[in-house]
Amino acid sequence: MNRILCILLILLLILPLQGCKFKDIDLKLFVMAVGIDEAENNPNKLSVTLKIAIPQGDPKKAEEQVQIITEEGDTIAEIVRVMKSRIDKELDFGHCKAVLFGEKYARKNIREAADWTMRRRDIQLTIYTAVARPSAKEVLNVQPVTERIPANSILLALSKDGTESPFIVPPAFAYVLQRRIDERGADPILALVEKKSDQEFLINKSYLFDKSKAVTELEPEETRIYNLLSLKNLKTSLNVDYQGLKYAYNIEKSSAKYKIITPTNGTPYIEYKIKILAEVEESHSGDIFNEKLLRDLSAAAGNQLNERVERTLSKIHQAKCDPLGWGLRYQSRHWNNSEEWKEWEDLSERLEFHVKCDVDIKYTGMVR
Amino acid sequence: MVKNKYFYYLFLINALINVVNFVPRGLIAQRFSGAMMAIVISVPIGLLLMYLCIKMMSKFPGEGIPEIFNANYPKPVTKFMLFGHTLLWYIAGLITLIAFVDVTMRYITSDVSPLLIMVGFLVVVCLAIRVTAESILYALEVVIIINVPIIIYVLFKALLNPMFSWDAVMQVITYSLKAPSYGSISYATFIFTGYLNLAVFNRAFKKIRVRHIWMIGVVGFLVLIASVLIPIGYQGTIGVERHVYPWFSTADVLRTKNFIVERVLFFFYFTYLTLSLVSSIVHWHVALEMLKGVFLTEEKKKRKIDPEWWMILAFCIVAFFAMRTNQFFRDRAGLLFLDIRLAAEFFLIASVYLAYKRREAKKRE
Repeated sequence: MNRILCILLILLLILPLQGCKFKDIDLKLFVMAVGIDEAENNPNKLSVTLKIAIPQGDPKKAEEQVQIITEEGDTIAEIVRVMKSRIDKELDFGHCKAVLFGEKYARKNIREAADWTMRRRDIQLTIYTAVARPSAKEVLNVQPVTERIPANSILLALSKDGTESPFIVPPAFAYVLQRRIDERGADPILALVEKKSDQEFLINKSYLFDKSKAVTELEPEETRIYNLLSLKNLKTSLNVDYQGLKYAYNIEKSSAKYKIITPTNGTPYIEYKIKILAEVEESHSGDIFNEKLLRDLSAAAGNQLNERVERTLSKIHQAKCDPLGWGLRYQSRHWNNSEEWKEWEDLSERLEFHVKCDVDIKYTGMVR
Repeated sequence: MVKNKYFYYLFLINALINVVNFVPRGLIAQRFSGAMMAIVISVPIGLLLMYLCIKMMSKFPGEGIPEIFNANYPKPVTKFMLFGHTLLWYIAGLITLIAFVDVTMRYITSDVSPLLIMVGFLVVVCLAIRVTAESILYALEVVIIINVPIIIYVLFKALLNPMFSWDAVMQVITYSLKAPSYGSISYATFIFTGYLNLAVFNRAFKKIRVRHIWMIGVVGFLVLIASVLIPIGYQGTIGVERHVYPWFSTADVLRTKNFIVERVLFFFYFTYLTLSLVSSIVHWHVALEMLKGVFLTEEKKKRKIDPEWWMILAFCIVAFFAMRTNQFFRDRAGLLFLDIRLAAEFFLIASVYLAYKRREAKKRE
């Protein structure tokens, strides 16, 4: 009896030995980035661009081989299937790290594209999303000379693993995008990737979304202020004018906190408190720093930053977007669940901003 | 005979496996209508049931429910009750297995047929449920000790991520004052249900005594809070509803730089693979013993094939049929199971109490 059972078991264990059901790596093409645009001639159709890497033995040899294909159709899924008959190997989205939405497409509605990235099981939730100008196709066609792995340069910039530019907003992963599209009281904000030339792109602006529609563009300066408000310890320098001369300071530590304050009679306001610890990086005066100058410079820097932050906040407010999640914060601090959203909608119309920047320039750098 | 500490492992395996068994999904569906309150209420209810069960089972040292029932109840009643419990424990293990086959399909090997995955799982589970209660408890200990540090690492990783939205968590907490439904309480008390496996595993304990039962309450509460609120922190208060397996989506969101694999999902998957297999083994072991209590009470004839094998074969066949159900049916069945389970728990403890009374009465005569 036992012998028969053992034999049966062994036979059963042989079943999975038929080998990998997967396609081997040399039969695969890895999609590195997906671009989604409105079709050129027909606004009701989509155009999808895939940037595909061809597997290679030695990553040190910087001869990247890349194929870019574009196809038009009604749904992204359908377009991908059509593409499959234009290539010789199996498409693999497992290593796809970025989805770019063309500007025109983003201004219309990105809901379907966001849904596709969330729903497809081989696409990770930690994929980067961004808006591309003039179109996703053209941005994906940019081939920077420094790029070693296909589409890697965009990823390095968006993820801040490579360059840490203060003008790039925190990564909008697919799940963050979807959560903000769904959430009451928060809106997505995506980095804007622009094509400068065939070998260079530029990421220093961002796009404010009203749920799934791109609405307003934030200029580089405003994007940096947004980063200052949403991130801890932003790596950047800022300029100050003091007595007609220019100075620049580098931020060592920064933190921003806010409170939504609703006085019983009077306009509701958001009070931002920003704390910055900094050092002087550049001085155009030529004088040797003393304690008083450093203190005055700090005060001037605080005042000037106040203004810049207030300008940015009121622009975001006028766009009727909520990239900083004020609405969610308001709801999360109030226990009257059924009325809180109405209250917020009513209150957010006449919101004011009070900003208190506390810039403390502590060091003068290596020289005095 | 094993030490009393093995009781904690029985509790822990159920508490950890809730992520696969639809508990977060049931609670998340009711996050705006009393799930938070249900979590708070479930702690005293779960602890009370646990205390009563331990108290009752300690009156029957070294005996399982089949022996207790057979000795103290008329035969038809015993058979009926044991069969009912068999079904519940069998379904508990089955839900874990099917959910895990589904997770494997979705996240790991989308090209392999689900039937083959199920065969693989069933081979492991069916061979393991026949061994003695002690051996299963030892295996349980090993698996838990290996996996708990990994789970704690994932939890820390999840809570320290800057993308985690504490505002979303706070927003759900402000819904704490809503009155909970029976359903949400029964989902939440699943965390504490591990003690019920004593029904058969009591055979391995000399005379069960559990110290520091409040600690189980604290751990259970934290586990519940974490398994509901962490997915909300990542997927948002509204968006979390979209996810079929909220916890696997949450693990997919996490990245680690200090490990060979970048995606936390993969080692989270393997952790939960071992935990769910062991959990199914525990549940099906109980189911098998109960079923043996129904059919193999008297004469122990030497048969050519051990009748256990027929029971295991039945388990497998039903499992393959259950594979044909669709996603929404499984959701509903999973949640329905959790609902029935709470009532059955009360029933089981009451019936053990009655058995105890009857035994005492018999002794006095």
